[in-house]
Amino acid sequence: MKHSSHYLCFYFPYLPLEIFTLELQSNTPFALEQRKNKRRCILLCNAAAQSLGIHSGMSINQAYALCPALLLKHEDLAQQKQALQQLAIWSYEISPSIFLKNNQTLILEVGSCLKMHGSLDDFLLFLAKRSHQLHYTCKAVIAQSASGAYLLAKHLQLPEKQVFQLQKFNLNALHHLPLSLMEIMPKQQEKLEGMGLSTLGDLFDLPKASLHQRFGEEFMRQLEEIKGNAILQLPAFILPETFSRTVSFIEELEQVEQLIFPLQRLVSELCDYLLLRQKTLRQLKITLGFRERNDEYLYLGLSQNRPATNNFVKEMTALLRLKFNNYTLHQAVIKLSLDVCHFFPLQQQSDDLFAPQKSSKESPQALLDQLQARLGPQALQSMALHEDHRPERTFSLQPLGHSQAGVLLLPERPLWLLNAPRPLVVLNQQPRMNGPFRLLKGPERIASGWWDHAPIQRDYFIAQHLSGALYWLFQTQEEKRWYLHGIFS
Amino acid sequence: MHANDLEKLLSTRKIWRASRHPSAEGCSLDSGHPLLNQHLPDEGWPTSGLTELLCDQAGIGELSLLGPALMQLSQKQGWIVWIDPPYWPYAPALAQQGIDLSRVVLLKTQSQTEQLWALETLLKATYCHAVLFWPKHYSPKALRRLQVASRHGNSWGIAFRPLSCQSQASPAPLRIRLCRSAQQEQAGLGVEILKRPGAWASPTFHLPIQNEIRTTNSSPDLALRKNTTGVLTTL
Repeated sequence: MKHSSHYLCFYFPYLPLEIFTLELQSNTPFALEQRKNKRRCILLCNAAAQSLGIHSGMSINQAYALCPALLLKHEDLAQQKQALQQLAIWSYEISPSIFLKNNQTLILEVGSCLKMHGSLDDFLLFLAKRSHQLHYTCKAVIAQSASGAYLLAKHLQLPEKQVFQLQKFNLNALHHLPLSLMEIMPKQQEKLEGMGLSTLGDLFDLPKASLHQRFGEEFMRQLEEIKGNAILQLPAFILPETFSRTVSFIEELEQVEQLIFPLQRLVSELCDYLLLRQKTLRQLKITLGFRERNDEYLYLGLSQNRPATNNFVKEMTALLRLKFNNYTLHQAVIKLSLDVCHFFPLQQQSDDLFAPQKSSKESPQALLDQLQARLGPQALQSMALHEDHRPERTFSLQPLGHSQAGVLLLPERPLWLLNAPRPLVVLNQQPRMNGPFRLLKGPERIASGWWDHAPIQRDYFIAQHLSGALYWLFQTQEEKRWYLHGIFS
Repeated sequence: MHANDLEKLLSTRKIWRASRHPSAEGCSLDSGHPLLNQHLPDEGWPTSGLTELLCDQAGIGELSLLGPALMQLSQKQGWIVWIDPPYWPYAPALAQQGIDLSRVVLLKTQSQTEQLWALETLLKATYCHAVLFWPKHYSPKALRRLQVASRHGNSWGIAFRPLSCQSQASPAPLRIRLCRSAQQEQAGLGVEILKRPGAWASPTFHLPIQNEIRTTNSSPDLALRKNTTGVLTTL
């Protein structure tokens, strides 16, 4: 049996405005402007501006007269698109077939997933619960046709002070919708008015053939789409391969601390994305935009591929906080983006049921990330052994995690090696350093390295100082100079 | 089922037994020196909390004293971190002590604030077994924080401090003074426990550390050596 077709439409009426106001205090009057007939006027404004008497369609001059402190911005379509994509990622959990429309609308085919929820009413309950995660004002409608649901959502009235409204309609409800909702050319709109038609119902009653003759192919297709007889002609949403989100701030941010909050939101969006694609990440890129400076980049590298776990957002935010601890802001920030370009497939691992508590408490990666975020990637090093007889070259410092175990058969070696040999004073052919040395053991001749231009020819001695300390000294063979090189600690 | 069958079954090692679990470990570390063990609380080095080693002179065996303990710690999964050591810890010598180098981590910091932060983070972390550090002008408050952190994370913090700190109060539960006199060469490393939980301070006792090297008889005479410069030596 074929499932009944049902479409869910999320319409975000204030999305162009809300992508800005999310970071804004609600009592700051803010509006978006647009150009209409070569005249600048208000497109949308927030509640604070509305309470001052500003409304959409009002000219800019008039709005400024009402509120001189009004913040004005142009629409930012690129950011709006990003926000809508993020919403599409969010709604992936509802249905896998998603269509984006007008940078402001999501249409989801839900008929195929109703069975999972039992009934339509259960599904509505599920949606109402999920709607709490939405940051934006939203009108949602379920109907049997995609375009119909869109028009009904546009027409739906939001109750006072509510940011989410969900309703199901059957297609009869379309009959009462005004024709002005249809997205057709103004000329056609006028023509319809001239014919004395005002609602969609009036249009449905007319014979198709004559309507086709007057309004053409495209108009008829739209009409059939609304009725649910034609298939929706929109490209399906495909998850992007990379993650990129930008936030612009209306009020400039002057303190590093202020960046953490918007970052946290971006990180939680990233977490959703990771979950959906079942990927892990290794590096985050943060871009800070300034008004009069080039963008600055911060990279947060992780020691291990990180999947989206329960405390992903908390841990990442803590790491970013550490990263920003070392960062000085030279100018106020107006833009912030979070990008991740490379992802790695998630490999699920199962934990040991009886594993001791200690290992489950903390992994070395988390600790390493924490230290490297604050101190820099070079701060931690490990040692490796090399088969070279020159004392300076028997070991090397390496980035953590690359240490090689080796076995060297050498006579006693001191636990401390000086960064560079320290020259000693010689008195009566005896080396001295605030007192004489007594040579205990030696000489051990080390003559090596003629092949790589750093040859040494030294006689090493273990010597006891007057103070009781044990040192590692050497005498160069050619110049007969004495040096202190190590301490037997 | 006979007891015999049971034994046989158990000996195949296919059965997991709770008693063989690694979580049931002792909370002190064998210091490798029986005499020192006698004087330490729980008969060994503590595995958490701060331990202060006071000595003025590098090179009397203060690191060798810890060798056996660090060797044991390096057998376990986890880190032994050296924060801003005064010289390079020499890898071949550490390997000679039996310390697994893959567990040894060197950490360099740029300022005291960073140093304290790193110390606290590491001591708090359960993954880190021991942290060796050389505090300079730390306030008692800072040391107390470190003590709390190391108790919290069950990691051992080892602070090397000069003798002048002996008179200052310290939150470290174990404080040990190390000395070596040039006159009593054969005696070994002098150890005096200044403060320990559950007992009074100890008198000075001596541990045979570095005695082998110090009592070598083949002490070369410099004048003699002049004639033998051409000698091929151990390489």
